[in-house]
Amino acid sequence: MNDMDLEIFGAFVEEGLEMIDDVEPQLVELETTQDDAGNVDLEMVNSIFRLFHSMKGSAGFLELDQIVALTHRAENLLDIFRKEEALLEGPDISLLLQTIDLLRKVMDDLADSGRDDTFADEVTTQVEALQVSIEAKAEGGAAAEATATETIATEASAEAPADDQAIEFPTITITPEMSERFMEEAEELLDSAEQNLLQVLSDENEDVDLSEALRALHSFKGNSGFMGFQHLEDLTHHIETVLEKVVDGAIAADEDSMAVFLTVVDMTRKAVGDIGAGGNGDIPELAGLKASLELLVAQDAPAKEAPAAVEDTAPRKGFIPLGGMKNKKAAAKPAAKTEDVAAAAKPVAKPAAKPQAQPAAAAKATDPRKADMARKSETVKSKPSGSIRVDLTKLDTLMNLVGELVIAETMVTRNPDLDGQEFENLEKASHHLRRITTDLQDVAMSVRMVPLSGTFKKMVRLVHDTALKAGKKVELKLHGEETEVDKTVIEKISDPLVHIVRNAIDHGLEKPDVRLENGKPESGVVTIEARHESGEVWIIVSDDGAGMPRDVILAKAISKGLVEGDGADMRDEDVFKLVFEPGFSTAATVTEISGRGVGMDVVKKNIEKINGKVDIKSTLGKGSSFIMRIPLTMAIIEGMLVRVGRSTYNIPMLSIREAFRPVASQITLTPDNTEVVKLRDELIPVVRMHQLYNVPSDCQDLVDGIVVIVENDGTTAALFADEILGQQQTVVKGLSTYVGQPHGVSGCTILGDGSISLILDVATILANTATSPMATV
Amino acid sequence: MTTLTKDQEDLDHELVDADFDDAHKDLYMTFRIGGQDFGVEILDVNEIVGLHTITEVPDVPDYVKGMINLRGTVIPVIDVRTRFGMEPREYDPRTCVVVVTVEGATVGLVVDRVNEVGSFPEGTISAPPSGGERKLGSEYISGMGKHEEHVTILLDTNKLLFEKQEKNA
Repeated sequence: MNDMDLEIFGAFVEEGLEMIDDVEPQLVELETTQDDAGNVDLEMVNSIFRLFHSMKGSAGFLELDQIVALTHRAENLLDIFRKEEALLEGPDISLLLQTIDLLRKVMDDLADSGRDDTFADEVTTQVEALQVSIEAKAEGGAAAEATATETIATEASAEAPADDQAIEFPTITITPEMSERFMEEAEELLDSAEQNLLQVLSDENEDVDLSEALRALHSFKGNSGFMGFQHLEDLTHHIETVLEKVVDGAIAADEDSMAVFLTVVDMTRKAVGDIGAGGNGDIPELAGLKASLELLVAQDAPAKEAPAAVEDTAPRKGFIPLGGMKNKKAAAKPAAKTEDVAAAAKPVAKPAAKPQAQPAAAAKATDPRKADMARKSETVKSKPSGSIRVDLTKLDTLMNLVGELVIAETMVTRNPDLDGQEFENLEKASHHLRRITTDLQDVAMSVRMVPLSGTFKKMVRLVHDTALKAGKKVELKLHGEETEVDKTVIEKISDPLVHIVRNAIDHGLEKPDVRLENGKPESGVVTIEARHESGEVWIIVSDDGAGMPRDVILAKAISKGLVEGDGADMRDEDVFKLVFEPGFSTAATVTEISGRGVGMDVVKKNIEKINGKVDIKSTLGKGSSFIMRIPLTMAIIEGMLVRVGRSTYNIPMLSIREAFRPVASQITLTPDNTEVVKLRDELIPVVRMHQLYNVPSDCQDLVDGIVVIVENDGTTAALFADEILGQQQTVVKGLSTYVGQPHGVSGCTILGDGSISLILDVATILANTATSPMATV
Repeated sequence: MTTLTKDQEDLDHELVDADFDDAHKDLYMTFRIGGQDFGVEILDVNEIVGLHTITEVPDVPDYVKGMINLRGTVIPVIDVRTRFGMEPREYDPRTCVVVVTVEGATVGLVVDRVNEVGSFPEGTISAPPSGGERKLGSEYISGMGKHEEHVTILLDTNKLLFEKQEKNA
């Protein structure tokens, strides 16, 4: 297994997993949208069918037999529902979901090991299960629809869909993302096909291998079929057939044939551009182009001793022989179309409309380079949208370099050698430089932003499974999936979101009968919403369930010793937050889904890791909301720089309430030797930073320095430092794993002068110093 | 013993350009602490830099002096003297940081001064002294490299970085 293969597999797996992620929610939705008669949304079945089909195609190309076996069976099963030969039922969905799970597992492993047979046993079992189901359905189906058309043969349906009028397909719902991905890929595939074709023209040696172009066009055909662009699929199918003959040597790879191919590629590209502009990808010149392709076969075939069948079928139907199956379909095409094509197949075919198509299509293209140039200008115009996949480590490197650049810029423009001197031009130039670096930093940051839609989509499946296990009916609503957050944040919020959603279903929502008793609709609603709110991203999970019982939580907390006294004066929010304590659970029994009291602890820990917060709102009988408040990015922090002796520290602005120089009257020393400052009606314990970090400081007396009031989770403390240096946005760097996670430090950052400043971890400092909020005076 | 120029920049250059294959197996970067020469395997060494401002970090062992900014990357530095339980010494212009990477962790070693790259083929290395009293960080020693009459203590970089201190000096 060489690296090249692994790379190809990697790309396959990445794409495959994306497809699975797309289709999984649809599968779940299928079940929920099923009407009483068991009818399902055919479009949805079709799009799921296409997923398996595309995957099968790619897997087949890569000779991944296990995946082919799985997807083939799944495809067959779906085909039955697609044709409405049998009703889709719950068990079928579960079966398909299992198949998806297994596919995911196999692909994950494939990416690591380059083998797809690690789970061969499981695959075999699953394939058998699918086969059993297919047979059961097929029998039922055959009885029900004995009149089914001759197109039923599974093989025929396994052929790319939607290229033929004989099989009517409902229009596909194509999401913008799908369309975008299609365009990107189309651009790449056409480029590579074109380059390969051009080699023939530029390269004098005649042995150019065109299989690359063939592969690219084949993939493109698959994609077009998947997206339902009939013309594109039809055309590429033709060019593929002809190209195959060129590769086999049946047709000469000369300027003439290349010119035709390139014209076709051009037209295809134009159609793709058209789709990008909102069109339907139809090619007006389709018939003409197909004709010129056929002409190539007709001209070359006799000379090159093409198989007899080619000559035989081609003229009669006006079609290039397409292999048995395709022939069947071709025959089924409306007569009008066949005639149309046949008419256009005359040697003097004038595809018209396209000026540069004419010389190319006419058998003797005079100057291939001219055509080439025309094509280039065409390319520029039709370029839809450009995006590429980038390795995350490269982005990280970019971020780091930009961070360094910002520092280097400061080092140059504020160089001590320049002190006390005035250079007007230098001033201007450095101003300009600063503006560029700032822009660059913004751009580099934005590159890492990813929409939450992927994470949200995963929840669909989770809700489905959890609801099933808990025996509840749940309707999931998603809002604001397009909200973008930093890639690292996405990774960190996935787990907490899972726990919160599971809890909402298991604890939040009531059983259907209870809901009905309480005058609520039978199925509960879980809403997941994301939105920007004051420099943070809020991810809100709400349910319309029973709400959180304050007294039960409080009683439990008191019995666990988490709350002293009766807790009567605690705010509701604080009471609810008790559920984040490790091991805290009000569930009477531990169920399969939740109840151990671990989940909420995970939520809190993970969210804190990304400097976020979780708030809970709940009304008894009405439902609860969990609000995860997450900073936009972890990579940059807005902080206040303070100096203690020779060291500088960075206090995250998010936790700062205010900062001031205390006066003597504000300071009290309690009998247990704790210093407190009185701020309005509050007594706040003082944390001397020089003691905390064991560094020398300039100020010993509180009145000489400054206190920064920090707050987290309702706890406050006054951090004592020598002076405030300023406020700035800095790029966060992690501490080396070698030093681990020192107490009270969450990371570090490099300042403008190249020195390092530690970023304070306010949460742990508060947790370890102040115990609980001081009582009001 | 091959002696390369001691000029730091040139040394860096040599190290970067060197083709790190098995031929470098017997090469050691030697440095001096107190009156004694020490060596670490050249394959562990990234580069040698002058001493930067060290930012202290709380809550770490005493030999971890803090962190330095190595061209935008923040790396921890440990003082080899303190690690060996030797008397600390004022840093001077010859004080150097030998940057090593072991098991993915990049760490700077503060040493009195860097000597040279020396070759210690198998025959010239004898086992570390065993038994008797253990002192001067003997737990980090991988062998004693001999060149003529001169003895260089060869260190196990991995142990130097990660071995828990057995006794507090």
